[in-house]
Amino acid sequence: MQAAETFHNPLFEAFKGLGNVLADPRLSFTLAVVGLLLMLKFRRLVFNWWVGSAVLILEAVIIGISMLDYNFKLIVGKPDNVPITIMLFLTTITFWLAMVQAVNNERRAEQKLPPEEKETSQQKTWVWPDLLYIEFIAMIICSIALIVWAIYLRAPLEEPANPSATPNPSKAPWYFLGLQEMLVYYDAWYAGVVLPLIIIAGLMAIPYIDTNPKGNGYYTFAERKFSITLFLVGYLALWVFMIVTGTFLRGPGWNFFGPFEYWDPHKVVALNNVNLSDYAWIVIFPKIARATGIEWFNQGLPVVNNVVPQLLPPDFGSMRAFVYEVGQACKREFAGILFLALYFLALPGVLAKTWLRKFYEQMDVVRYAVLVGLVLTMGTLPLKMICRWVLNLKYFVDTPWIKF
Amino acid sequence: MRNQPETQHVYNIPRLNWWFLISSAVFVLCFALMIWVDYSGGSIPLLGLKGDRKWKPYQREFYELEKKRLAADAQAAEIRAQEQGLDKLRADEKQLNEQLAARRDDLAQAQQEAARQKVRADRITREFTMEKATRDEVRSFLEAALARNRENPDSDEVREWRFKVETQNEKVAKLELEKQLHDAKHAEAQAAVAALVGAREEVERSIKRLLAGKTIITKRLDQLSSPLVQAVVNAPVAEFASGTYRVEQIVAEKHHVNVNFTTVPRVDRCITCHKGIESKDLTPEEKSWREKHQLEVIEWSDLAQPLRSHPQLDLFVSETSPHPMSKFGCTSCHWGWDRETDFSRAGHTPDAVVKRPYRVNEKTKLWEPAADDATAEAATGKTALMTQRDAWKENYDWYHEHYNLQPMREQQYVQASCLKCHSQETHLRGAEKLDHGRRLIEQLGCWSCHKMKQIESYSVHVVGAGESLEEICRSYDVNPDDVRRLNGLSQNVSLNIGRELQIPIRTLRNPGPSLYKVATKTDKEWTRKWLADPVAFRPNTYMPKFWGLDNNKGTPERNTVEMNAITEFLFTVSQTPATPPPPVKGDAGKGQALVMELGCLGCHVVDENLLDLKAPKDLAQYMDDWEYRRARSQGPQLAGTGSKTTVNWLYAWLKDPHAYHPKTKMPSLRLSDQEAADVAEYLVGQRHAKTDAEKLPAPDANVLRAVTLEYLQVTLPRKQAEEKLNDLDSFIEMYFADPETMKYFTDPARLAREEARLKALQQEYEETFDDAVQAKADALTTAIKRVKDQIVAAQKRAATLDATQKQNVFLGSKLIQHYGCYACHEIHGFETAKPIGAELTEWGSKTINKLDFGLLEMEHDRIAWLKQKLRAPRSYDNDRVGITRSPQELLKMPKFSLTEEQIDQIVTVVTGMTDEKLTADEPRKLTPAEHTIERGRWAVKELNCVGCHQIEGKGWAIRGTGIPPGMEPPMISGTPTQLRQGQRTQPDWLFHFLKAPQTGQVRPWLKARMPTFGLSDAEANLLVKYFAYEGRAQFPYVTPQYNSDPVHLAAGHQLFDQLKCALCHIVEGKALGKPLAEIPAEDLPRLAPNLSLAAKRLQRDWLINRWLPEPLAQVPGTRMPQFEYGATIAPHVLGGDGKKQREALVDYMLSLGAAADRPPVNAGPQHTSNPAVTEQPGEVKLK
Repeated sequence: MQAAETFHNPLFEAFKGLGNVLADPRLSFTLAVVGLLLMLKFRRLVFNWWVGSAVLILEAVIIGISMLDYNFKLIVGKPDNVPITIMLFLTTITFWLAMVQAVNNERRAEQKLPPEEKETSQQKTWVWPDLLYIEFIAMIICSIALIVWAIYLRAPLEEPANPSATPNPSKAPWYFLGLQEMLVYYDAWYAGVVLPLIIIAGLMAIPYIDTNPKGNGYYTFAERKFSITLFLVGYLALWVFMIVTGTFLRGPGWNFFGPFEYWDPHKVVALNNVNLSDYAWIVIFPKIARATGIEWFNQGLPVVNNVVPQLLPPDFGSMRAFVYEVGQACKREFAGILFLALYFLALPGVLAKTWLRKFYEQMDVVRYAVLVGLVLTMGTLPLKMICRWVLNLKYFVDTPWIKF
Repeated sequence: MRNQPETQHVYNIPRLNWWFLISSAVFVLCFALMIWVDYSGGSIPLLGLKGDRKWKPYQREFYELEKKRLAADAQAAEIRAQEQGLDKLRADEKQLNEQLAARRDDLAQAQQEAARQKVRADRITREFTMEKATRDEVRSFLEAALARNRENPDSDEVREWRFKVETQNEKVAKLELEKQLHDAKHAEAQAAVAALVGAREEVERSIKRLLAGKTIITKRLDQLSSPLVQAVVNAPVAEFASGTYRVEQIVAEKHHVNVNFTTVPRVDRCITCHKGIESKDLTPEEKSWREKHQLEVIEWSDLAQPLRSHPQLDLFVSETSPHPMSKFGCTSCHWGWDRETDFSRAGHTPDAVVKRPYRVNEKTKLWEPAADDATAEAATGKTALMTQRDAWKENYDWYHEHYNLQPMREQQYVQASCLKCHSQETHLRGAEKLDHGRRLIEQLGCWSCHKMKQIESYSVHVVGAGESLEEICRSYDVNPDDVRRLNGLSQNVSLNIGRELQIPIRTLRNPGPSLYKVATKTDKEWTRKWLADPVAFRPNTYMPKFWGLDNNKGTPERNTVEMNAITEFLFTVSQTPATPPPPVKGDAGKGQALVMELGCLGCHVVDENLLDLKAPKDLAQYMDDWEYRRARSQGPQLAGTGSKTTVNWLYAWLKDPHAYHPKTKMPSLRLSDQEAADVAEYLVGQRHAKTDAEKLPAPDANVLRAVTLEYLQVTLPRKQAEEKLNDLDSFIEMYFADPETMKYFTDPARLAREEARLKALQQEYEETFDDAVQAKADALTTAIKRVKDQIVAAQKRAATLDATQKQNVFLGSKLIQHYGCYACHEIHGFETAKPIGAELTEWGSKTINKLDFGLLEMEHDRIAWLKQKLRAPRSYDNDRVGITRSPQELLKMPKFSLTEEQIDQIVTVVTGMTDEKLTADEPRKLTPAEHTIERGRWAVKELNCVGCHQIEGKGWAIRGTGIPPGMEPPMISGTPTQLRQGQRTQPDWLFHFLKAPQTGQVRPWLKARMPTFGLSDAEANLLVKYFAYEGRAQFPYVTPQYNSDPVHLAAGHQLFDQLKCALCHIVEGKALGKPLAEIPAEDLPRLAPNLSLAAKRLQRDWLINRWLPEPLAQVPGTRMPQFEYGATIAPHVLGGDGKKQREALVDYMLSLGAAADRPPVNAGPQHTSNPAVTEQPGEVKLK
């Protein structure tokens, strides 16, 4: 496509090929999470001005070189997507700034010095002229930036909205792309309603769960490794990364495209996702039947009809039908139910004895339960992503009423 | 920063001041830049910026031109005024002024006096008005007092007020007298002044009147030319009030654009740049007048875009045209983004990708099309070969705006837009490309596979109060059942007021011949050759090619098997009525002469190449080449007939075409046995040598088996399919039954149901002994028996076939279904099958992403796709055949042999078929009369009347076939001022003539024969009505009665003899003084119509008022002399009164043939109803 406008060079082609391979979510997501954890582990090496600047420069150089490619330029240069590109840099800078400070304070603590912020917090500043003047100048400069941006990058106008022919890809505003990405892995009810509510409620609950006074008023990492790692994984890997993916890598048909790939609306991807119950009843049980000779294992998927209790006449017979269907559903989905029960009910106990022992001991049961509930709920996203990629898994539990 | 005392600043304030200064300055600059971008139409190359108001420079250019035009107009007005005596008036004024100067004192005195009198009069008037008002006030108080004191009208209060009113009345009366006095005095004083200056004022007024036009022009010119005014009104921000430069728009209320959620009126801003669009060029007289006076002349039609005027102002844009811009806007025809003023986003679409020379205009620096001779200069650098697209990219940074759902139509397809409102009209003069495309689609039969509502057109009737379906249908003269079917109405429907009913206009006929009896017409060998390559046999055929195309040329064995299977199927199920040899021996030479003279060539060609056919020069005023070709290709080319069919079939066909195919367009020419035998003999001698010599490969039995198996596997698993391969009876039996019985094969349970019903009836009868039930049961028994017999017979017939034949019949039936052959041909067994093509009614609105471009490397453009589809319909399968597409998944559209021009015409139609919703007024609603005219035109087109006659100024193709002058069939109707059939003949006569032309014999000497079309009463009626409405004749007409007064008739007789009418006209079987049979052939063209028929045939009014006074105007080139009736030719007959003479002549003529059939009735209007037509829609009004 568009051969005439593309820059050709064998080295560049190799670079693009590598980019396309790396962008594959299976790889990029794993790299992002593992990379983040490694960076936090070797923070003393990584978080300093040299590496920070090098990363920023590298980012800029990679994007700059990539702009030579027509398809990349088309997507990144879209007026809509400019803020996301800017966000890439801003996230790096803010993340680095905070971590550099945290590492710095860690070193000072080793020398028995108080955090740097403690010293600067003793100072006093004039509101006028110092504070207001600098704010005013900053305001003017921001206005200049916005005006220049508006003059050179016109607000994009597209065709009139058409309910019967939505644009392909149909994308949410950039700040919702994380949610939209979740729709791929969850039932719409969960990804669109339940999980956002849990996220909001969870963020609101933080002050009540996290009563640790350390880090108040100064940057630190060493003193609260778990909390910050958890937050960074949630924010950077599960939110920012999803937005970037949704913006640059999701193309027509919500298919994945490498950053240098042409967004072909006719791209065909073989997708045949199955539920956990399929694995249980169709793959594993027949094997057991063959091994043991017990015919019961050969019965195949139990049939579940969608009986909606609200629509039934209020007589016992219909209620019985509903109960029967629920039973059937439980039978069919027993593997998923079992798995989720272990995940949400047994795992907290195990964690309380092992990894989260410290928290369990410091907190009362309710707060511990809320914390673990939130952490595990967040954990289902990478879990589901990995299961989808590896096993083509659609749902753990798929009943007519509840899908997870 | 650390350890600083609290009183010190954190920042260096003087440095911040600098920061503040610089950032503020940059901010102000950016702000100014923002305003500039919003205001200007220019560019700042240094910053890579372009102003948003790109239309401003165009408007500036327009105003420069307008200033020139206004200046010229002002000068012209001055000159015109001078021509009308301005100089003399000015001289008069001067003279009068001088005279007045001499009496200056008198004038001053008189004026002074007049002023004094005016002051007085004014003062009195004021007093008078005041007192009158006071009187009104006290009157109202008096009335109030009276109301309060109704019991006691003599109370003090009433008396007091009455007194006041009386006093006031006196005052007013007094003042009124005084006022009149002073007014008179004032008038007198003024008269004195007027006596002195009146003459001069009169002259001044005349001068003003002469220069009134110039004054208006000058005012506008001053406004436009004043730099100060322009600078103020067009200053940034201030310009919103009354700037000269502004976005201009037309709101086309009735033409909506679909924005998906709703439709909104089009708001066309095109005129913001195209400001000169409705500027008319000067008339040639005006132009030469201005040139004579050396005034500036602006040719708006010669300007470069965007200021050029519309090329067809008489039809579009101008207020007096049928499509004024104020009502239709621009985008309702041109499309494009109506509210947009940016060049690319407005949807400007360049013309087809054809390179042509362009040249840079030194003044504007734009690439403009150069004259074609510039090709040679292409290398000089100033000119280059480029497409319009390239030029636009250079000039306007054009890019394809893919969000635009309705980009403008390419110039060459703009006629497509006519279709959305005018689809009901049979002919669209001025949109020839579209029209030709529609004709092609009708002929090729595109519509028979692809539904296209615009082709099978209808008119819309809005139901009024109290109208019933039957009444409406009667007024349109259409069959209520057709209307019910078209609108999906039930039998007894009551119509709501305001409901829009679709009234059908056209009935389309299958484009291909019936194949019910194909076995009698031709043989299998020829059929297979024909299927293999129809064009090889007949270069201009409309039969498309299905095999040997892009996606199946690689499988010749399969193609042979497929063609053979279809042929075998057709011949196996064909009916075979006997076609005995002609009873007499034919003579090919005589046959050829007959084909030449009978008029066959009006519809057929023998061996001329149709595509190269050109209308002869003398026909140019009646038909262009295209129309000539269209008329001559009504029937198939006759060359090669002998290779295709036999003399027996031809003889039977010629004697009665409708016996072979009841719906054929071929009429009967009432040939005698000998004539038919001659023509058949001649035609059968026309052989196609190449086809005769061609040898086809035999079908391969293995391939046949394989393909049959493939089709069996569509419904059966492979194993069963293989079993069925040798047991196909159950699949093919149905084709040997009649269509009625076929249902029982496709629905095997049907027979069981009928039998159950029979059983139930019989039971019912046993219980009730009802005779009606018994009768029903008996009928059912017979029917069931018939069906059973049929089934058995069909099974028997199927069983007689051998295995290969069975496979062929099975495969043939599947292939006919697969390729949809039945859409064009009548094929036994496929009477109710649905056409296989996709509906194209809204194709013009289809988006590009719904088109499959396959693996072809081509531009992704709708028109490019469509053209490629028509050129090589199967090419989108290229590189897929056998790889990703199995044989049954391949594209099926056949290839028609079309020229590029024809493809363009079809593209115009198909892109015009859109989903655009029109508001209530559109599409044009036809009145019943207009509806009849459209249906009549359609019928005339279907019957190809213009092959032989001239109708509505078009036709006479037969004159191009070598028919001697004077021997051609007559003109029926010409241009609107010429002869109209509806005015000339009586409806009765025309009706019967159309039904049975042999009874007419108006021009018995003509060799060309009016055919018998086998019209039904309704069809003949429609034509009669059409001619009446089209001729603006009253309908039904008054049957002409003539004045049978012997004296009157005697005068007519005298004139008849004197003018020697009987010399040319046939009267009582004689002309030129001898019986018809004795007239030598070279004299035949001198003959004139049979006057003995006039009484029954012609309209008296037309003869008297139109024909006799001006035969040449009626029928240009007629040999009928134009006599000067009246005193010139016969001063003493009927007192030399021309009108009376014509009446007498006509009445005498009408008496000639009338005596036998109709007793003459003395003059006086008498209305008789016409047996052919009964309703009376009244006066016909046409646009």
